[in-house]
Amino acid sequence: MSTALAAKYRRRARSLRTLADSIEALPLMQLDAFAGPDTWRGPKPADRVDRLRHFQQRLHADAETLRRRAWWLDQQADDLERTAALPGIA
Amino acid sequence: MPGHAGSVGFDRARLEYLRARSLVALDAARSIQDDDWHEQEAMASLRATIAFVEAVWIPTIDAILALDALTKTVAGTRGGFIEAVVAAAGLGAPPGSVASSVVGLPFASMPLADLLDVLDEIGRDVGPRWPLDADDRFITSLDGFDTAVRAQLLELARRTRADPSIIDAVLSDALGGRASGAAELLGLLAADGHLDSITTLRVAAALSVGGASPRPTGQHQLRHHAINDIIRGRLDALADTIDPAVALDALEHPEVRTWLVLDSSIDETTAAFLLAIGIHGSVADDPSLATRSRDAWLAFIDLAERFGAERFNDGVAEGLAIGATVHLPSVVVARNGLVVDPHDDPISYAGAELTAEQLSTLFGSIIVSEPAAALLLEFVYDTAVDDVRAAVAEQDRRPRRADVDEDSLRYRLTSAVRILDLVADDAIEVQQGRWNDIARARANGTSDLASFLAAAASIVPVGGTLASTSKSLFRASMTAAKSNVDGDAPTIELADGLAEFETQLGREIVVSIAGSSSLRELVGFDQLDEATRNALDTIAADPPDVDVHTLDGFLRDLGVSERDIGDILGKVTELLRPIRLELDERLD
Repeated sequence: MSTALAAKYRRRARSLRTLADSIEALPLMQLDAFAGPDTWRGPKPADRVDRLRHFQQRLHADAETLRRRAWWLDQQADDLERTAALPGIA
Repeated sequence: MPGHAGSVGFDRARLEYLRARSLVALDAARSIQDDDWHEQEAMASLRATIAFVEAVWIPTIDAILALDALTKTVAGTRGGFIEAVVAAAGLGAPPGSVASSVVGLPFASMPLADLLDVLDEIGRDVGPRWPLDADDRFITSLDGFDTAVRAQLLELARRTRADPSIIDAVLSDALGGRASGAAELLGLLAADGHLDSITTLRVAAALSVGGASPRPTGQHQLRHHAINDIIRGRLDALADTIDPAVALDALEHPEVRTWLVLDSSIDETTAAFLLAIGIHGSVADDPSLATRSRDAWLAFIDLAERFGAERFNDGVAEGLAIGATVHLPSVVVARNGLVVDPHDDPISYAGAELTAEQLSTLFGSIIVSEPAAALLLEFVYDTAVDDVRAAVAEQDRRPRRADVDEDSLRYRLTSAVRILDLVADDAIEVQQGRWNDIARARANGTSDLASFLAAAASIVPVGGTLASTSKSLFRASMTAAKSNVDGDAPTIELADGLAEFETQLGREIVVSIAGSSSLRELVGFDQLDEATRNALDTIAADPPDVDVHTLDGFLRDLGVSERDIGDILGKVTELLRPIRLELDERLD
C-alpha cells in the first residue's frame, strides 16, 4: 500500500513538474520581448507591458510553487518507501 | 518607428507582428487549459493572463492599428473654413463687419480676454455666413490674411504656446456648449502649423462639440453645417499634419476623447468605437478620400439624429453601443450591397485584405468591453430579432429570394451572432450578473431570443465560430431555440438551463464532500492539517450553499490552506467531470 502510494506521489510530482515547465515555456512568457519601445511606446503601451509582466511573474511564481509541491511529494514518497523497507513492515 | 521625437509612437509592422505573436501565445496557453489540469492556482493565473491578453492586450493593439488606419484614411484636402475666415477677416468681408474693424488693434499688448473677445467676434461673424457663396471663395491660404488679423492670430498662438492654460480657457467655452470663434480660429492656426499637434487635436475637440449641439434651426442651422464642415476640414488637416504616433498619444488627452465622442467623461471603449465608426468609411468601394471622410462623419451624425443628441450628452455609452450594433453588421461588413462570402472572400479594408470574420473580430475587439457589453448584447438581440422576423416574413411571401437578399441577411446575421458571441464572452467573464439578468428576462418574458438563435442557426454556419467561454451558454440557447421552433415547449430555457447547470454542479460538490468517504480518501484526509479536516467535517455536517465559484472562498474562510484548497478543488473537479459531460450531452 505504501509503495503504491509512493508511486502515486511520484507520478503526481512528475506531473506537476511537467506543468511547471509547460507554463514557463509558453510563448506568453516571452511576449514582452516583442513589445519594447521599438514596437510601441507611450503611457498606454507602458501600462500594458507592465501588466503583462505582472502576469508573467505570477505564472513564474506558480511554476515555482508547483515544483516545491513536487519536491514535497517526492520527499513523502521517499519516506513511504523507507518505511516500507523497514523489517516487519509489509 | 515613425520619426517623431516625443515619448509615444509605434511601428506598425512590429505591432502587427506583436499581435500575431500574441495570438500564437494565446493558442498555446489555451492548449494547457484544454489539458484539464487541476492545479487551481496555476490555472487561475493562466486564465487571468489569457483574459488579460484577450480583453486588454490585443484590443489595445487593435485600437492602435485602427487609429493608424483612421488617421491615414481621413487624409484629404484642407477644408474650406480657412477661405471663409480669410474672406470674413477683411479681404472679402462687407464694409463695417467685425472682421474689418479689428484691423490695427494692438494685439501684442491686448489683455488676453480682450484678444479672445475679438477672435470670438470674428468667428461669430464667420459661422452664420457659411456656406459662403462661390464669389467669396477667393483666398486659399493664411498668407493672404489681412496683416492685422494675421498678427492677431499669431499673437494668440504665441501666448498659447507660452501658457497651455490659455487654450484651456478657450476650449472650456467651446466644450461648455458654444463653439467659440476663438476656438475656431485656434483651429485655423493649428491647421497652418502654428500650434503643436496635441493642441490641434484639442482644438478639434472643441469644434466637434459645436458640431454636436442639439438640432439647430435657422441661423443656428447654418452654423451647425459650418461647424460640421469645420470638423471634417480639421480631420483632414490633422491627418495631413499629425504623425499617427502623436495621435496615439493624443488619445490620452480628455479633450481628444471629447473630439472623438463629444463628451469629456467618455470611456476609452466608447472613444474607440467612434474610431471604428470613422474607420468604417474606409470600407467604401469609392476610393475617394473625401468620400471616406464624409461617410465616416455622416455615420456619426446619423447616430446623433437617430438616437437624439441627448444620448450623446447623458447617455453617450448607450447611444454609441446602440449605434455600434446598428451600423457594424449592416454598414461595415456588408456595405452598399457588397456581397462576399463571409468565410472565404476577402474584404478590402484599410489597405488590407481581411475576411469578414477578421473584420468582425476587429470591430468586436474594439467595441466590446465591460461597459458596453450588456447593452450591445441587448441591442444586437433586438435588432437581429427584427431582421429574422422580417426575413422569415419575406421568405414566406417569396419562397425563393434573390441571392443578394439572402447574402445580405446572412452577413447581418453572421455579424450579429459574432458580436453576440463576443459580447457573451465578455459578459460571462466580466458581467455575469448583468448577462444573467438580461438572459433571464429574455428567456422568461419572450421566446424571441430562442427564435432568433434558431433562425440564425438555420441560415448561418455559426457553430464553428463560437468561443469556448460562451459554448455552454450558446448550447443552452440553441436547445431552447430548437425546442421552440419545433413547436414543443422548451425543455431547457436559456437562463433556466444555465441555472440548472450551475445548481447541479454546486449540489454535487456538496454531496461529494458531505458523503466524504471517497473524497476524503482521494484527498488523503488523514494527511490534511487540522483546520482542513475540521472544515471538511463542518461541510459534511451542514452542507453549505456553495458552488464551484464560491467553494474556494468558503474553504478559505474556514481556515483551509491554499495548498489544500487547490487539492480539494482538483479532486472535486474530477468527481464532477461525469456530470459536466452529462449536462453537455443534455444541452446537445
